[in-house]
Amino acid sequence: MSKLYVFGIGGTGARVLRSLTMLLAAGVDCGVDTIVPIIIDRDISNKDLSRTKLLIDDYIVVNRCVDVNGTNKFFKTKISLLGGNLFLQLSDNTQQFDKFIGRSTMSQENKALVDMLFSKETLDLDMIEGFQGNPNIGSVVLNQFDNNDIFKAFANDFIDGDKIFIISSIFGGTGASGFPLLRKILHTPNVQDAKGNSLAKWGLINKAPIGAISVLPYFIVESPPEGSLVNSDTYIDKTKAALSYYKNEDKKIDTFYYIGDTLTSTYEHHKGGNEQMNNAHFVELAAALAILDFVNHDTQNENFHRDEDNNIIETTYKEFGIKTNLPEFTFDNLTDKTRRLIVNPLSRFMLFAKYMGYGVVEKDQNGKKKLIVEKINDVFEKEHKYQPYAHKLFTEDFRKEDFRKIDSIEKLESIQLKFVEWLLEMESQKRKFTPFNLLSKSATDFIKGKLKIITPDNFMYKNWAKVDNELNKQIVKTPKSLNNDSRFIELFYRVTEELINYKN
Amino acid sequence: MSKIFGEIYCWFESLFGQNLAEYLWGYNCETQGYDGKNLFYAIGLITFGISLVFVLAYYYLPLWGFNHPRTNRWWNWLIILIITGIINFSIGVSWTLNDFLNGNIGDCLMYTRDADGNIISQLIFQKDCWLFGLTNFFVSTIFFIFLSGIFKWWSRNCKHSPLF
Repeated sequence: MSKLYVFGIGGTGARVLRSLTMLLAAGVDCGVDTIVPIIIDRDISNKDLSRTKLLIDDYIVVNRCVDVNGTNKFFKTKISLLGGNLFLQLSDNTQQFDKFIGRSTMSQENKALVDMLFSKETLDLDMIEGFQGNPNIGSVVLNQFDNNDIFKAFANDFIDGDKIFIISSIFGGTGASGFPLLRKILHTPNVQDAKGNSLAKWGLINKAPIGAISVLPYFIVESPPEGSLVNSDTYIDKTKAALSYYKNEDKKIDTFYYIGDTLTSTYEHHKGGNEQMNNAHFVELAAALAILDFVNHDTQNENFHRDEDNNIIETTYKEFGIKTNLPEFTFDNLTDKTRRLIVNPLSRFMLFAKYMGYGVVEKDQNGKKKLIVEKINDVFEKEHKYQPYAHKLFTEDFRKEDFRKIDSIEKLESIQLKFVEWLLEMESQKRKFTPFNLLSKSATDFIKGKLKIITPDNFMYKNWAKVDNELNKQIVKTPKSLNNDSRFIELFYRVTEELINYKN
Repeated sequence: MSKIFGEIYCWFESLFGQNLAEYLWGYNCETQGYDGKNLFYAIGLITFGISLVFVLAYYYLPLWGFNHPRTNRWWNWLIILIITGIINFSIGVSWTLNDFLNGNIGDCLMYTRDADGNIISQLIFQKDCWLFGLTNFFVSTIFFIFLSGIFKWWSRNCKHSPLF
């Protein structure tokens, strides 16, 4: 039972974890049995984070019901939370920076030094919404990683063979400052808890395989309003400064991934909090692929270079690229390696979501046409009464909320809705990843591009009838010992695997 | 077997009449015995065969309209049943009507005659042939339901059509 602890620092960390969860839901192969996501962010109220949390909570419910020994790959990788908590609780939650550093109690000389190092705006900054693009604050505040109980649960849970991965952005506040500090504490020997006891197994953590991705600028924000310290004009300078510092990380990280994009989308300006909810971006999906690459059994030789004493002798640096530099791209434009990894899972899960009715419609909202994700063509609802696969198994009550049981199918559908939203958001960026025609109601022509992914209609079975025919065929092959929810997911995996089978 | 078919048809004897039934049992006016061809058996076998073909087609033939996820509703099954019934209806009508018009039905079954051989009354009419066709429709329906009950369970797409 190998685990990968994924530390997602800041808003980008949360968004990459969102993409990772979507990939795992779709059944992308993962080289470990369990992913343990840990989010580090002062700005707990930010929407990017809360929707990642909701997604992961739903995922955990569905994962519990799937048969991990079956053919099914949907939700196969376990996501587990440390002590049931997604967030790493920082002990000092003082909100104003000058109070955090105790400026009021400082001597005149120290006060003068602080005033020289930090501007008045910075000292007055309300950190409830994070560090707002200020790594200099983050590096001070996040130093509380030291001498604390926050890693106690992590250390207790860690076993030999587990791996660590850190996601951070380099151009913001929390990620840029948090990554080197976190890496440093993970490699500090004999870390102690608040009572001064050494954390058990910390030695294993010191020597554990460790990877990281640093996300370079891939979006900018609108001009800052007065009083905001978030300014995308400084992204490149901050990146340069941080990159030069990250030179120190050489031979301290096994595999270091970099990703960014020059074709940047412009987001609305928000300091953080409830309003900070950026649309999903392909860069985040690619960053999530870096995590899967890190634990992929086939890449272990290129990812890890250690000596006999298990010391890192060389850091592997990796970058992600697409085949053609286009503002809008599909599966066609991905490299063979990426296609092998994601084409089948994403297409299969999309077909499953479409069967359950989830798609995109164009609607008028306040005189503006807007694309909205909703139930548009619920094939399951229409067909389950007639199709043998559903007979006495997946009946009227099957999807209904029921307080007497764990509603894994309700959660599954919630993820399917979010999955389509996630795809739609990636289409809204300047660099659009558009693998699917989300407006299509068809079972067979929803995948864009020239790749042969889905088996074409034959003279007998067309469109959704083809899917129903396959469902009726495969139901007899699914184990009767499974409970209904589990059998349902197993069935749909088998069917989509039969209908969508891209080989390159 | 021939007796079984005959008895099934005779459930509806009141529809097409006793005399036509006697003819179909193979009654021979000359020998006054049942040594003629048992037409209940011949027609019944064809009706059974046609019903079997349509039942097998509905449940197993991979063609649109048959073993198909969009035609596994009860009314699709009913349509196939009616089509089978109509075919068997026409076989029943044409077979008996042909025999009726060609004088193949024995005189003793067709008419009541006086001592001089004059016809007092006709015992079998054309309408009886049509009513036998209707009987064959009903028999076809019985066969179709019976065979559906047997063969539906191994069908991929229609195993729960029309019921259960």
